[in-house]
Amino acid sequence: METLTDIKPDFVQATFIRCTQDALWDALTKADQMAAYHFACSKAEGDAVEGTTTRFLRQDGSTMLSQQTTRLDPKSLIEMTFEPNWGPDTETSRIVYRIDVEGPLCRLTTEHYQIPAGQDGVREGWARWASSLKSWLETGAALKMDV
Amino acid sequence: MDTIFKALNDPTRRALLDALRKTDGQTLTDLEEQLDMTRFGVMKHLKVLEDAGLVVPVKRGRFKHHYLNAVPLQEVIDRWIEPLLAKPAARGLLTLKTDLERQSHMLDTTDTKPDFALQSFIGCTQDALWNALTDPAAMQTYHFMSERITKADDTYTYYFPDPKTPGLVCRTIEETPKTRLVLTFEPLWKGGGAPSRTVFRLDPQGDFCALTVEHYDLTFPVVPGEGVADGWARWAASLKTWLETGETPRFFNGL
Repeated sequence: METLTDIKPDFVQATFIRCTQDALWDALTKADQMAAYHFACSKAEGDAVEGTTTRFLRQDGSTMLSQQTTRLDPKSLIEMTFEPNWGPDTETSRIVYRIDVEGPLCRLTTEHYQIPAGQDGVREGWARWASSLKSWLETGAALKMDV
Repeated sequence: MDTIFKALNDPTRRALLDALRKTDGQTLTDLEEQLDMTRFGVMKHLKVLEDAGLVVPVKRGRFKHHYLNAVPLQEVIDRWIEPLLAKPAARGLLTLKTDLERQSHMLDTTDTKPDFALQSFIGCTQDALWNALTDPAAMQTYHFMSERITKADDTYTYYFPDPKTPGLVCRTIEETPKTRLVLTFEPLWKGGGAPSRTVFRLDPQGDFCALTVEHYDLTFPVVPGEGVADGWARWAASLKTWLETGETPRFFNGL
């Protein structure tokens, strides 16, 4: 079977965060933390567990985005589906988070594979997401958009 | 140099270089589809280009991606072509040709895709971000490699790996205060490649400021997680941490 590492990602983004590997892992896998720093959502359900779906919820309780965890290598790698529930383009694609530890820092790499036509906005979304995650881990304050 | 001339002395190999110039990072299968040749034939030609250093293979999982590397060609031009352009008549014609090409090139770059782009959102004012990008005293505080940066007229000089060695020069091409900055990017370190161009854009968004960095005209391959891409990620992470926490972790893992 084809695995994600055999394909070239459409989008790759790396950032460096001053935090422990455990803190970054928790931020990427615990639903309450995912909601705490997400730039456009303040509520999420479902921790990242293999086979389980995490749902990011809008203010009115509707689902904005679903991500089903398909692979979990503790503290180093997460593979998820990416199923947006906005606009006319709701095609599913796949994402990978990678953690590499460099002394007191963590490098977080985000890869998005097979981004469907019309979903180019996800690139800016990832920049907002990673920026807010970094701020939240380093300062305790997330960068939320007014939504 | 013999290997470079030999590598260029074949229409298929020149077609392969053209294909990579159009889309960098293609796999053997991608390239094979564009040529009327067997897979083995394409492999053989790619090997000659790799041996000459004109194509750099990057392995990812089962696939190998091929990236163009223009540095050896630039060296050939510097050594064999530039000195031969001294004849006045020939030079006149070639200068005209270069000027025309540059004009069309400049028109091109306004809507050309950058070779590398990065976006970050930083919890600070537009003034603070502009200052961090243009004041050498601020720049040397957070820069991930250079602890000494000077500015004379419109030119910044970054010193690394030690405070006496200039490693990078950036000349201001265009400046719209607090909004947009266009700089040359002229590496002085060995293997740093030819001069290129960077564009910084600032966009205040309420409590935070969006920063876009674009790098154009690079003459070597951009590989995710390495080289230029890694450098910008470290630079942007250091800048953000400094502006938001006042601390200077210098996100650098050594040369």
